[in-house]
Amino acid sequence: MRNGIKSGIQLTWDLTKTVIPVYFFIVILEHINALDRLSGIFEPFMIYFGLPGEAALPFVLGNVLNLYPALGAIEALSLNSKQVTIIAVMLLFSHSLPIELAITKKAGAKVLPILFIRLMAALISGFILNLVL
Amino acid sequence: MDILNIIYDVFNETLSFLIQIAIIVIPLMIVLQFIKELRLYDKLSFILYPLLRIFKMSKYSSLPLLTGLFFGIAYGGGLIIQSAREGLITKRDLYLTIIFLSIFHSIFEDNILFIAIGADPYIVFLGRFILAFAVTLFFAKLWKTEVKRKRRPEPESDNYWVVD
Repeated sequence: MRNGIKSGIQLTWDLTKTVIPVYFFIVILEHINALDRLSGIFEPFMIYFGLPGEAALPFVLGNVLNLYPALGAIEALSLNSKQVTIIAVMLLFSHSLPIELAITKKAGAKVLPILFIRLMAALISGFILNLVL
Repeated sequence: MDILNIIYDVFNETLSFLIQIAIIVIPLMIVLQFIKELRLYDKLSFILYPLLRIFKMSKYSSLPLLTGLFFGIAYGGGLIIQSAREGLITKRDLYLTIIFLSIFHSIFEDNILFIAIGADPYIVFLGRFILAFAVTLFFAKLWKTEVKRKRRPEPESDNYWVVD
């Protein structure tokens, strides 16, 4: 029991230490409005997934921050059910990347391969779903 | 002023992360301690046994996998860190667990969020599982287990088997 509590506290502290620099990165990005600019870059590509350009914003918010702001941004758009499914699948594959990648790195995996797998899963599934749905 | 704002935001975010993690991780580690002391690993791993067998992973991957599936990748990742620290998990298991969980985790919370706003539940849930399965299987086949790696492929020789 005591060992469990001890390793629980240790692990909580390890995970927290891991995310502090990531939160610095994210908060600074927000302060310089980088997310709006980033979604501006993605806008023209959303058409490949059958999505309107404005859907770049929830995609960027979900990937850089987490799913909750992305959900808000999706609801602010008027997407049809096919489009909601597509962006849902894309975001489920790839979201909260800075935080989750920091944790997987701490767990011992390299960042780039995991990032590549997740982004590819998101992009390819979005592309295919747009064709088949 | 801006710097203070940034530090304040980071502090806030970190604190809420810490609380959120502690609430789940500390009880989880207590449960894990019991599982270890009562030697329940084998009993628990049977839940994921078919998956583990296909991927040729050890039973020690089952707890990080289950945790990640139910609670999310932060917690699953935490358990991987813990298992790696105790030397229970091989590099191969570690990567396959992380690959699988990266694609398919937090199956209740994440999926319900999107189903609530109108996404197709079957595509969201099954699609994600199938892709996670396929990608992990691909890497599991690519990354042979240690025993198989010793077998040198020698064309035209049919009695070249390693007995294990």
